Amino acid sequence: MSLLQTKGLALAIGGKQICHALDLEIEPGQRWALLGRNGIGKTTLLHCLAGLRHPAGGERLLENDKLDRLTQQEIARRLGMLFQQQEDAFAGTVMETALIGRHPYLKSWQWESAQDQQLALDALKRLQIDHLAERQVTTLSGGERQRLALATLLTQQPGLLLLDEPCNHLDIHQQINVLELLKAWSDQAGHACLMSLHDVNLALRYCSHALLLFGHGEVVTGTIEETLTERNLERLYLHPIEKVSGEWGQAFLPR
Amino acid sequence: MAVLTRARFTLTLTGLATLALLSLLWGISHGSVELSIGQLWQALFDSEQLAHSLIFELRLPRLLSAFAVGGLLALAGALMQTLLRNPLADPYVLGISGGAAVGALLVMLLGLGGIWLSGGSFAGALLSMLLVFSLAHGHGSWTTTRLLLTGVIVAAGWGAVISFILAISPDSDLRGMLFWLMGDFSRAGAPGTALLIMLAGLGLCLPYARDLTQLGRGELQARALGVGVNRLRRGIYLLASLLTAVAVTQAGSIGFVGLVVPHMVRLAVGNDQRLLLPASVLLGGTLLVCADTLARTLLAP
Repeated sequence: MSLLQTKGLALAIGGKQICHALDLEIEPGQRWALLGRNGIGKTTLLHCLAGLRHPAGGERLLENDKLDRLTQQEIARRLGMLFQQQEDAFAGTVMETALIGRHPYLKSWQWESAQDQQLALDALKRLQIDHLAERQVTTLSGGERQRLALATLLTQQPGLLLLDEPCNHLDIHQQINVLELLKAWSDQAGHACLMSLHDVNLALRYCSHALLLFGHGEVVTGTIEETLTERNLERLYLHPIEKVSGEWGQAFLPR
Repeated sequence: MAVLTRARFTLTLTGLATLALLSLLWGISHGSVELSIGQLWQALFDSEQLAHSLIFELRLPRLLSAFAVGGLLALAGALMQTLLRNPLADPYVLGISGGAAVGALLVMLLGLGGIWLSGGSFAGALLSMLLVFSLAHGHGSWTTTRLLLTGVIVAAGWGAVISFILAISPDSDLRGMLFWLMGDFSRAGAPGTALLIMLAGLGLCLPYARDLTQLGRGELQARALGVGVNRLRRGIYLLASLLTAVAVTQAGSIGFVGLVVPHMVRLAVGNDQRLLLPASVLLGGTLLVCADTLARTLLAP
């Protein structure tokens, strides 16, 4: 059973067509990279797949259930979304913020249980920010805040993760750490993720499939080997790209 | 602040409730006639004494009014701050008090009083609420910025009308108008309705307290976690406006409480709405009771 499926999805924003009739199927164990130029519609597509935006046409299915028929709470139990920017209008601790991931599972009168707190703490540990548990979120650095957002997602325990630029603000070590984490996470049964990335080489190294948005409704989907070619990437980014290979692997470098 | 636990919740609210009770006792026993604890105790049971009627007909209703208004304003302020995701929001930022003031001043201008005054100010508040609601809707979704801007503009409009009314009204009416605008408990009616609405308002929003905490973190994030954002926002707007309308009708436009009390609570116990909302009600009520008592004693009569 696929975790997320779209049939003939048509999406546009501000007069720009993102996709005409996208047929996407995300199976458990897959890690999808969403690649495209700035402003091409990656965030819009992610929001649409998460049920936060209505498409112009087509169908979205979450674990074979029509997305439109599910309540927002049911969607939240199966699908977690990482946003590009985090808002912190009011103060709160890191631990409190990680715990909000449990929101879809708690009734309005329920208190967070010891298990919930442990889940949140484990998530903070995996993102290496457990030492910041009692800090105020407004005092965190950009990278720390990004890792906190990821920890909140892990606490939510969905089957599918949609991530909008998860590597933003992170140093090289943390970028690798996060992608290794996502790889280990998607290897668990019933898990998969779709993430938009700017670094093609990270996509090459860590993802199994890719979705390329060219603009004007043109979309290419497939495995990493099929889709990440010099020609496709040059057309995608409108920039000369050179493929470099060695014993260590391959990389795409801008000329 | 650590994560909110049942223990901290109960402890904080018990402490604030005790504080509220003590402030009421303090208010009852102080004023132009000072009462000692012994006299208080006696007066409770002996209806012949002067102290008894002083307490039950004069001070207690007035103090309960003050408590109700403080609680209403603090709750409305906390809800507005969450709705607009802005720490600078207060109950009057969307023009409710302006509308109520215009309603009340027009009634005074016409020479009416009593029930007409309450009716006029409540009607003005409701009119303002509907005005902002319909103007902010426009086409497309209801963004926070649009709501805030519309409210500020409508409030400014009401401000202009208030200045105009003050300018054209006869000297004999002016003092009464100014007192109403400042906030006045001496003519506040029976506290029963206001107290009831305060409790009902708190009861209505407590089941949504957890949703409200998420809403304060951003609408998309809240939606992604399963909160029904659109309905919740509309509900909060209506509830906060109604609470403000009742408070202003009861005692005029009293400032400061709606803005500062939620912040005081937030500084002490954090932003978890499950605790912030009831704590704001208790602290707001206590604050106004103390303020009223001080006003009656420092500059008595």
